[in-house]
Amino acid sequence: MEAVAQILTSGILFGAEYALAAVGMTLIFGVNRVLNLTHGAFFALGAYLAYETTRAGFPALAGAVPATVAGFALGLLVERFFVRPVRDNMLTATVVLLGLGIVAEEAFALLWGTADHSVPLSLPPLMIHRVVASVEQVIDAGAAVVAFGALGFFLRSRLGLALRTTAADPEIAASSGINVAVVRTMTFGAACAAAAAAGAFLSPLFVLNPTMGRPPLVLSLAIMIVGGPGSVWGTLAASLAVGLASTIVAYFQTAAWSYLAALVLIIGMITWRPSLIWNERGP
Amino acid sequence: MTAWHASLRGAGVRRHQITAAATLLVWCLIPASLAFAITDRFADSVFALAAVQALYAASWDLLGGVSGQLSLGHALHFGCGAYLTAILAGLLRLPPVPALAAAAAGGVLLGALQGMLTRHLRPAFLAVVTLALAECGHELGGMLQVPWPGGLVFGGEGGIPSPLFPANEFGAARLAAVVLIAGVIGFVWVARSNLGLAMRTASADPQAAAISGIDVGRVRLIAFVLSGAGAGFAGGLIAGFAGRASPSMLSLDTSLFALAAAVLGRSGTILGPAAAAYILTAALQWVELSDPLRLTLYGVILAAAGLAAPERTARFGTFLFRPFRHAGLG
Repeated sequence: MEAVAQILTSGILFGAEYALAAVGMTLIFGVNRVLNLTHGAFFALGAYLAYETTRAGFPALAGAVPATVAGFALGLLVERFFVRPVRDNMLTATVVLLGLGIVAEEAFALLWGTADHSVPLSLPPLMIHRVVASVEQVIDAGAAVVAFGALGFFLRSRLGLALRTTAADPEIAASSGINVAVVRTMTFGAACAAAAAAGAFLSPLFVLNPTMGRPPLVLSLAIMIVGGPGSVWGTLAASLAVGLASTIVAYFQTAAWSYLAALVLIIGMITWRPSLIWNERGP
Repeated sequence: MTAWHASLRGAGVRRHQITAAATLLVWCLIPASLAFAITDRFADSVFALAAVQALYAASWDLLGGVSGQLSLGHALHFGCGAYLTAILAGLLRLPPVPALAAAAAGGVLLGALQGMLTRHLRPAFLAVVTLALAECGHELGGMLQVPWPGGLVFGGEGGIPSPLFPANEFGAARLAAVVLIAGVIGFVWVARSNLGLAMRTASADPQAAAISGIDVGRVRLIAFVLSGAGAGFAGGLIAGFAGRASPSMLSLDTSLFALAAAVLGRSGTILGPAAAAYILTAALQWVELSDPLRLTLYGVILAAAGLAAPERTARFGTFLFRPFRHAGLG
């Protein structure tokens, strides 16, 4: 029973943190109609900034602050100079972002080397009825839940309406006075900030190296499609499913098998029950 | 239609066929003459690698360009071919020819598996499933530990050793050129045959293709199988040339290389992506850049190609992204 509670707790915490990364991909796709293949690079950037934060003597989760700021600023630049010129052509934008992602990985190798790094957990673990969770992970998951709640409220606000209108039909949004370019740029920046924050939050669970962003990129892409492109809540549900599956496998096997389990789950969800996951507005 | 119209149309078709054959001939002469005329060891090693990568890109183009099934996990066939060759030729001491045949057969089996799993899926789901399958292969490749004679164990990120074949760079370049030419002619022949027409029709409009009597699922499966055979064989060759099969051959980089070649060449033509892969590989090998610099340059080329020629790249992506056109937020 305790094992089940432990698995559920860890799986939900892990899934909530992954959701933060995946929702950025969903937001960018919904509003910008672009597959952001630099998402993994932003995740890695966040993790490396958390690493630098711990080297400066602060806990890893404090790294989320510089990660969010850097992710937002760089996201704005990427959108302005690399996405906006080719926005009308989705694949072109995707290819450009793929190239940028590769360049970013090499930049990480230049700055932090190709050797593996790790981020230590500095706060003591929390124990409730024999269920153990790291305080940092609980705070991280709490931050992810708060971010999702804020996103939910935001999407129902006046500004959120502008975002949803831009996502639904950019031409109608523009004709009704919404500055579509600004909405797209800010969304891209915010989504990159979310990916970087997720990287900082999850950094203690990862081995840091220049290509560490690839599994989160693949999982975010898959979660987005399984959850329904453009569906924020579908993304949350899919992230929790992936988080739970990964944790169950990591509990019984080694951690290396958990990524495999998440991939197999995604393949199974798509190939065996497609009617369940096909979003009527998506594919 | 009058006899005069028919003869004019026939002349046009003949002229088109002659032009296509001449283009294919000229295309094939270039890698052949480079491999057979130049006897510099470094140059031949570069040509060998470039020819294998071109075969790999051509095999992807039959699947992604002609058949419209945009696989993001083509490395699965390539890497599997490399591992099978290394195990059969290295551990079981099989001669290279049956080992390469097994590599192609492995590609066929994995192609059949991918095709069976994805033949009824919409393009976006197909892309994700192929990507996820290749990632599974990459992870398993990294975990694989193979006991070797003498109490040794090979595997993990270092990969497993394969005997080098052919014996020298000249042989490798010539073998690779011959295989590339045979592969490209085969893929072009398929693409221009009735089967290729069925693949293009199924790609353009699956419903219309089904109504006109095409078994869409079967055609898609055949594309996966043929493409898998080519990629598996290319993987087997690379294991023999490099003397090793490693998880990097199953990685996302390898899958994306095929996509990049299709973007830089002209997808659906077979010759274009193969030429792009050949030139890109040879150029990057020739300048002897270190791996990080090569990857950086590769990334810059991708970004610059996309920014410089957005329209051409967009035409290629229409099929993949059509279902996403009406995505919203909710």
